[in-house]
Amino acid sequence: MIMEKKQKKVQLTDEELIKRFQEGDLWAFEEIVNRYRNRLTNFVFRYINDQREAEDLVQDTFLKLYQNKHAYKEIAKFSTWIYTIAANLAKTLLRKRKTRKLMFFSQLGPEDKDLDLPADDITSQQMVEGQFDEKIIQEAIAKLPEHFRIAIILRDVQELSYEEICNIIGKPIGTVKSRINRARLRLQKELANL
Amino acid sequence: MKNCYKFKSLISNYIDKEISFRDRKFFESHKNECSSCQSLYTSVFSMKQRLGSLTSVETSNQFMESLRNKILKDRNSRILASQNKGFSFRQIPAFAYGFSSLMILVIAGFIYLQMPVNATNQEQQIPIAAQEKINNAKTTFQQQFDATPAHLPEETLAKAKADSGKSVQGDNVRNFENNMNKVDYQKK
Repeated sequence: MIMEKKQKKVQLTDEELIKRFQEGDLWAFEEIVNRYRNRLTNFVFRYINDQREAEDLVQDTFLKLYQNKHAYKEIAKFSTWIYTIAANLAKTLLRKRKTRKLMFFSQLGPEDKDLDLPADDITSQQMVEGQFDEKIIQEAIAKLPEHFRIAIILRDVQELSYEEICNIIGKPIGTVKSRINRARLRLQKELANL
Repeated sequence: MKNCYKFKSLISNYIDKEISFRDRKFFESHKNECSSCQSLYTSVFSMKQRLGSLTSVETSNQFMESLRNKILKDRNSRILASQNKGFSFRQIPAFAYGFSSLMILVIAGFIYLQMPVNATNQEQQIPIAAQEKINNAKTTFQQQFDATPAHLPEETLAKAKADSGKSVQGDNVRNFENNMNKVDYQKK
């Protein structure tokens, strides 16, 4: 009997789960977390290029969901809504990172500025001939401008539909298509030597 | 060259099958004609497939525990904040300060504008005609007063009072009062 009930609960859609959570069912919240934790971590990691920070950020996303559960209205898909929260948090983090970087460099003396920054070209040790090294691809993705990066990750890594991407990014379909195309061409150029 | 540019712009649409029939025909024919565009297409296509098969990054085992701790910490801090809720100027929204300053300015301006207006009004309250009548009455009174034999001895005055049943000076005062009452009445 309990097994049957549990099986039934597992079959619930995301929208049904969030509705249950809005009514106070904490099991529904845990189920949402379990469904989305890996998907979101993968997306955020590809976007911000730091696994520890990505995990932290995904926890913050669920915390936001917990705090603002009633903010979700059933006019949009739940997945789009949660991806939008995560994407916004990631953008804020990247902005903070940029500011931190600028502050760090502005505090350095002229003799200190000649630092060894992480190399753009990857050392031969990391390369495996004839293969696409995941690390190299990740570095290439990280090099893309933010608006290209988010579009290509959502499309090619997360495999979301154009409509979902439009809702998450908040741009018209023409812009999204163009960004994805340009991002793919840039990435192809970046990885041409492999 | 122009065709190559168009080809490039259509690559993703072709890969994602989001292309019109006409564009697809152009794309396929150009792909067969131009070797560099063909290799570009192959390269982009394989890269897209590689992105889709990247190893998925997963959360650590402590993920749920850390999340629970975060939620509890947040809840506790909220409770603490609501308990320590006392009066603070920070709680007052910024627009309230602006609004109250504006109100003070308006009231101060109103008072400032009202003050000189009141002073001139007071001066203008008595109409010229009434003022003239007051002056006339004052003059009449003065004349009557001057005509009163104030220098006569007390006995003579007392006698005259007894004769007429009222004092001469009293008559003059009464006359003035009557004149003033008339002026007041007209003013009203």
